[in-house]
Amino acid sequence: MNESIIEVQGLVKRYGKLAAVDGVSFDVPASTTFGLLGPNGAGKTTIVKMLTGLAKPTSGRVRMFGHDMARRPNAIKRRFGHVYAAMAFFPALSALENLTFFGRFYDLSARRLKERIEETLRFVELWEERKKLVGAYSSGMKQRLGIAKALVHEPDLLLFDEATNGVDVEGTDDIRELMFDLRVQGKTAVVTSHRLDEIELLSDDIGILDEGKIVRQGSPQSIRDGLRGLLFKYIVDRAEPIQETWSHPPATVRYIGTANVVLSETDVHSLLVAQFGADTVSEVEPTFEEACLWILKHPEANGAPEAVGASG
Amino acid sequence: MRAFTRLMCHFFLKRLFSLRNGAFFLLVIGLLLAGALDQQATRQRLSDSLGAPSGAEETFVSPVGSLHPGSSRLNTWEAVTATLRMSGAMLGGPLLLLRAMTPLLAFFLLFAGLLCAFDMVSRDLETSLMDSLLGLPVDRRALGLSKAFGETFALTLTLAAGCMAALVTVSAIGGLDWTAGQLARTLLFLPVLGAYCFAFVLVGMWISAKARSSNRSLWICGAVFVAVFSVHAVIENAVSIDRADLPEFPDLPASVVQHFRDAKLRGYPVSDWRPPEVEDYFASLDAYSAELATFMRARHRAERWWSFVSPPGLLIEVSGHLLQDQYHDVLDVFYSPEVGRRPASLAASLWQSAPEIAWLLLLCGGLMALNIRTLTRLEV
Repeated sequence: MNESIIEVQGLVKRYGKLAAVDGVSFDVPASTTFGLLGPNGAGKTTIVKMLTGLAKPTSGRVRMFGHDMARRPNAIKRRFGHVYAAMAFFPALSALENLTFFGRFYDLSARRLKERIEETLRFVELWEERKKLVGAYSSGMKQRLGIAKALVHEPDLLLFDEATNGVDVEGTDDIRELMFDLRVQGKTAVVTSHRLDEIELLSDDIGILDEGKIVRQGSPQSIRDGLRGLLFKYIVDRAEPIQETWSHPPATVRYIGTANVVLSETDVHSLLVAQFGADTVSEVEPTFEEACLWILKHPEANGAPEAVGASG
Repeated sequence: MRAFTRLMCHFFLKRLFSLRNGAFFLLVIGLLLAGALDQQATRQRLSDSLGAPSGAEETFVSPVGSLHPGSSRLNTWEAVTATLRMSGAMLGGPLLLLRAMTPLLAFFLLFAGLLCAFDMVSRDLETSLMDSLLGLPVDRRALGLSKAFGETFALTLTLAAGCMAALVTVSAIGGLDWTAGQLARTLLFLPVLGAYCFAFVLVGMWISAKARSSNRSLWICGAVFVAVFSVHAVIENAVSIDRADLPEFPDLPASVVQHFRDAKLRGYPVSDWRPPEVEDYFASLDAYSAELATFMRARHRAERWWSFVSPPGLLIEVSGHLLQDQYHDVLDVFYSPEVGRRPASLAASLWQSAPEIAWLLLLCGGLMALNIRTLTRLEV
């Protein structure tokens, strides 16, 4: 196992009586990507803010690169880059001027900074637009510039907090591609999003957050595996919608045009076979998205499956 | 330190060339130009009607006639201003122009300071720029200080440059010459204006950081403006001088009236010789003036404390001392047996206004500490 870049222990953040983050702990080893997933208000951004020193934990500890964030924030800040939703820059300055301003606070020589600005602007494909005022940039361009800003000082760790929020489809795709490139380069990263496909694509390890607590943690595959016996998925190959006729809820049936997808918390295979015939029913593995949605609906569930017999 | 300087330069230049700052620059020039030209025209008219220009000894003041129901500080300030304005010798030179505009500046700078700073922090919070700034590997105190100093220096420089531009223009139009002493007094007063403005920028900045919303901050700053204005108005009137408290003005004997009537019939100039009853009357006037001066000094000493809760009062008090080069101590305007022997001294004026200047600086220091504490604990 690689050395941990981030160690979070018992992190709590309270706003009055509300616990936005409630006892979260996780480690992020070097050269891996950790994804934080959860619905809006689950506490993802609050955790990232505590990781970046923008918010102070009510209790708990954040250690990064072997330093305590509460004691040596600047030593840590020099070593990470932060990209967040709706990145803001000085609108009356060009991209080049903005990066020069922010880049000067890191320990880079003037020559190296100039080189890095060119490298990062080329990486995010903004080099041709470098002299344009940032106020005239689209939201996608601003986010790409945000990635350039996060990379300019050659950080060892990248924190992406809802980095594709508010960006159009094309821009989102570009940003994901950039994030994927960074993963290939072996950068350590923390990615938060409420977009399940994004997290699955980018993360080695995932923490699913609900109401400030991590309810499941592991690789995308292990999270899916963990639902064996808890969530069942069947494809019923019929060209017309089927009705849920069995007596044991809960299950959802979705007609997708050519077939029906049945998601059930109980094993209803025999029931479906009895009703529609063995050659039309097949059991498949739930997608990551389906697994996560089920976990978020049943944060406390961890029980044995209950088999349901055909009831006619 | 390098990060602090870099940030401060950035905030300074950003604010200096902002649209809002440009508007304040033009506004302060326009305001001062209009007011100072009016003052200069009034002074010229009074000077012409009084006859040929003459020396300092020809200036006159009539404090009894000009006393009004207001604080002793205000009465003193107005009496000194009146002596400068009505002097045939154009006493005070360009100082009078700035002096006469000080009450207006007290509220304009209050307005400008709050309006400049009401969104200083909240705007960055709203646009998420604060995330980027606080994410920099820079000490938060350095960030807070650089923001406060950089943006405030830009505004102060703009307003001071505007003041000087207006004064120089009016001096050129009105044919007023600056003496070295007057220039020194003006240049000393400009940092006081700067400190005054700085205090309100810091108030606005603190409100901005606490409110976290520009809209809310604007309303609170508006309320602060109204509150400061009201406190000043209330204090000026609450501590007003009741005419019943004043020493009694000596009766004018009929023989003295007869003497002056005869002199007028004979035609001016009158000789230096005066009958004993007239000399006695003049002596009683001196005694009255001395009593009035003692009364005013005592009242002024007590009332100065009130100025400490009214920033415009502080500024007017300081301007009362600094922006005049006629009196060693401005309260000499009522009576001083040493007038003529005690030259107006810049050091004395500074000493007289030292408590107010010290309080202003202390206020700035306290507000700065409050802002740093707030920014250090700021969470986004």
